[in-house]
Amino acid sequence: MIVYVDKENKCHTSNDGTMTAVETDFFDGKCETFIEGYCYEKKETSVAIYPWKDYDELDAAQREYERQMLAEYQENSIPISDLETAYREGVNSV
Amino acid sequence: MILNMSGGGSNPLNFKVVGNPQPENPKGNTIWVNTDVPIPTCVLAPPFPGEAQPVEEGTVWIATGDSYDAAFNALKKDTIMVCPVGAMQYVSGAWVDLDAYLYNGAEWVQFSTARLFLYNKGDKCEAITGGWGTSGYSHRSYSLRSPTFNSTSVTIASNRATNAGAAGTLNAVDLTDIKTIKINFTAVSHYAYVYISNTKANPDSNAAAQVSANYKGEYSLNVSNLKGNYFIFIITFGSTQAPNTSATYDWIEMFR
Repeated sequence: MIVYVDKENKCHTSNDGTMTAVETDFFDGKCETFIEGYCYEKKETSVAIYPWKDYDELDAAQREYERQMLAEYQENSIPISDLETAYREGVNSV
Repeated sequence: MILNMSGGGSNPLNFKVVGNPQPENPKGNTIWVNTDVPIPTCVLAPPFPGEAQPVEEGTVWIATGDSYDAAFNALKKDTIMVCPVGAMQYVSGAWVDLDAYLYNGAEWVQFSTARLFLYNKGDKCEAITGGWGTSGYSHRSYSLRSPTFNSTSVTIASNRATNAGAAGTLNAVDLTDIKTIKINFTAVSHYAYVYISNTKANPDSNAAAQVSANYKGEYSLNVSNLKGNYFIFIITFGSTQAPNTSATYDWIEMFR
């Protein structure tokens, strides 16, 4: 994913017009709170990605985000039994 | 100044040097060096000894300098101020940095810090790392090739697009007081990655921090906001374009 890096090498999920866009898979699936607690430091022969905030707090935020995502998925998903019923009704109507 | 630690006779000196255990009720000007190796002789002098000066096993060298953080008067009657700035001990043919402290009458003042290596030119630092290898590690769909332990370095290498050369600490390492980890690559054919992860399963996806290297040299990674135990994992991936990749490193050091 693309993140935006400011002059202090801190990551952001949106660009205020002064930041550099970088593409990295390090933050794939990560929430905004997690991403914005990180630094992305690019040098000539290396890239270093590390937290500038306490990692345990960032990790806790990410786990809470994943719990919320799972809860939304479960709430919006259709039970398989309902799908089977609809399928049979469709078949039987032909 | 050379002190024979076996003692004898009247002592005009106003300090003493002791090893472990840490004194419970120390007198002022007690220098405690954190070592279990017996200390037959102590040397106070600048600078630190060079490699070409072998001495008696267990000799402690207190380097003196111009920092007054742990300064003390070395004499009982007159005054010679001594400013210790470091401590080393000669153990098994090599000088080893030590944690060392001066008791100033009120508190312990640290003037020397032991260096913490995860790997040092042939030494796997097993007391901290548990050793190096790929045991217990998994990395996406790549099969992991074990590292080659050279006499003074470690080489990781892939030889197919579907595998990766890797080396990871077999134990998790406590990074609570560590600010930086540095690694010295003596060779990198394409890319090497260093992942700091709290799990051996897919360290890249679960990395708390990482640094990549595409050329030889020293690389550092800020881990000051990581508390607790983490695995250090180094990997180079094969690919369709470059199935044969390799990287060699000869030391990894942690800094408080």
